[in-house]
Amino acid sequence: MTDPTSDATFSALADQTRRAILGLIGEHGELTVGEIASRFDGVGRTAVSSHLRILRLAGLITERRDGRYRHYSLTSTPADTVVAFLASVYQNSLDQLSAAMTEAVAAAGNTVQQDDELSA
Amino acid sequence: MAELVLRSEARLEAGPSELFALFGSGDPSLGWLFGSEADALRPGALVRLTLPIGEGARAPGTARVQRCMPGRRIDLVHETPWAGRVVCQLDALPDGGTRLRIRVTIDDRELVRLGADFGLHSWADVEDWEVPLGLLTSLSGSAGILGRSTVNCAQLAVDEINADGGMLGRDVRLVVADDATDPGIGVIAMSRLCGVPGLAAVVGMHSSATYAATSPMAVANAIPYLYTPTSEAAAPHPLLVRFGERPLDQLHRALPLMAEATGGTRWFLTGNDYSWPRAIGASAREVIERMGGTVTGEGYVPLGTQEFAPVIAAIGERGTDHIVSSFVGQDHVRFESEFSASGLRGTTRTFAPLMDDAVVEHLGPSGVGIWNALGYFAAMDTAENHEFLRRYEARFGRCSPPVSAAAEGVYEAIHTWASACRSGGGIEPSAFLGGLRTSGFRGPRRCGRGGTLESLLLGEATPSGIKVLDELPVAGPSP
Repeated sequence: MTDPTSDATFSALADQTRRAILGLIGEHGELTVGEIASRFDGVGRTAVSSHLRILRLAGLITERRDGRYRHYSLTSTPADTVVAFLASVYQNSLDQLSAAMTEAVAAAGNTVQQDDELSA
Repeated sequence: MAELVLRSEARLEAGPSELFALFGSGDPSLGWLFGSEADALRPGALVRLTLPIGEGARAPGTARVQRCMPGRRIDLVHETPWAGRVVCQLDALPDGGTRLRIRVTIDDRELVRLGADFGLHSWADVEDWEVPLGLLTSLSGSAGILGRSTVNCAQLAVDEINADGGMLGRDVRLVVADDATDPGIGVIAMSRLCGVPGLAAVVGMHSSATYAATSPMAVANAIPYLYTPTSEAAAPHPLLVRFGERPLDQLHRALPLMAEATGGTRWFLTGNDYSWPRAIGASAREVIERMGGTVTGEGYVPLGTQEFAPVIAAIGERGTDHIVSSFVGQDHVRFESEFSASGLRGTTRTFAPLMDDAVVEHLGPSGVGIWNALGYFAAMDTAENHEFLRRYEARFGRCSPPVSAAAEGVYEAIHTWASACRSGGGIEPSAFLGGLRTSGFRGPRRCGRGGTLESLLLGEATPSGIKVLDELPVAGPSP
């Protein structure tokens, strides 16, 4: 469940603005950067472009070039994307717990070692 | 109903009892699940989660303990930002470590809702024989931690309407959308709701900032919008129907009683920095000055802030008897707990116009003594309320989030919608609006025709929940 695809999906979907961008694209079928930026207050063209790049790298949207314009549309199977997102949220929690436990054991090991050194 | 089951497993270098003891300790380095905050691991106890949402950002969520076997197993019901069941199973390994397995179950309807919230699709699964009814509320963001009981109460009302023959022979289907406590996201969610074919109405239980952005969309799409929270928001069009408490009524009735109880005259006004808390501040100032009191200071902080210290210091320095505290959701919980820790609770009394039963559960001991006046508290001692709470528990189990005024208001609004449609002879806006003038719904709240609130309850937070101090009539239409 820790494959890079689900991590990329997680990072892509975790941001509210990116979700809103997906929503807009889904609603209209296909949109350009300018069309997306014009529908957001306070989110500039550059920011929209960078969100689109993250969404594209996560495989959630696809890009079609038409002269000067790039048109974006959804690619994913919605259910798969949601499942990948949820799976990585829960797996992330276990991975962190596991790392914390390993660290605690290592720290305890160090303490014991130091004690040995002191007594030696 | 079909379900998604996710399984995860980890081998950990700690024994089952040691791990079990760490659950709910509130240490974020243990991961968001085990590092959650839980006061007790008894069935029904609240678990506060802080979910990672990428790039270092974190979002609040809630779960509830359903069952617990010390050292072996913890069953949780995940409530927000999504609904599901989580079973954590701990098995001892021969090397002294633990095999931790988690099984997460999420039903299909919730997956569809999440997919729609993530912007991946619209609500394509509404059948053409169903009457879609939208619920726009907060399941994530600052107000999200209070959202599950709102969705539950909406579902209970819809189930009751369907059990009673549906809406003119068709089943009502609840379509839930999350505004993430953010008007920008609210607009997107509302636009997708408006795109659901045949959507009969939208019930809104969210901030007035979202209402300001989304209500014109309801009018433009000719969809009735039933707005239920306590709010000063105007309803400048017949399709916009307001149900909740009016802040001026709350303040008018309650602040003089509070001043009488303490004998004090000095007030400090605080809350999140957006239209609603500032409107509360302006109304409170009007009421306080009319009764001869003094406003010693005001302090507003942005939604989602962690910085309450300057406001709390200002309250301490200026000398004050009463606080009017208009914070929302997670911010409300954080402010009141820091305020209580500062020791100022003992020398002041707080009125918080959003404090209801769900907020009080999150506040715990730090909220004891706070007052509010609302149309509903779970402790309301009437036959209608006992019956309502019995049905809620029968539907959602004993380990479910407490019914709050916000959630119960949604229940009443949906029943009022149904009874107005029946009375008007259809689900079209004209039939609903026609029926609303002559019909009503007899639920726990004291409401007249069209859902107009007739009385407020004065409540005080105690260690065992909100106690009802008095019933205050709402005299005539508010100014």
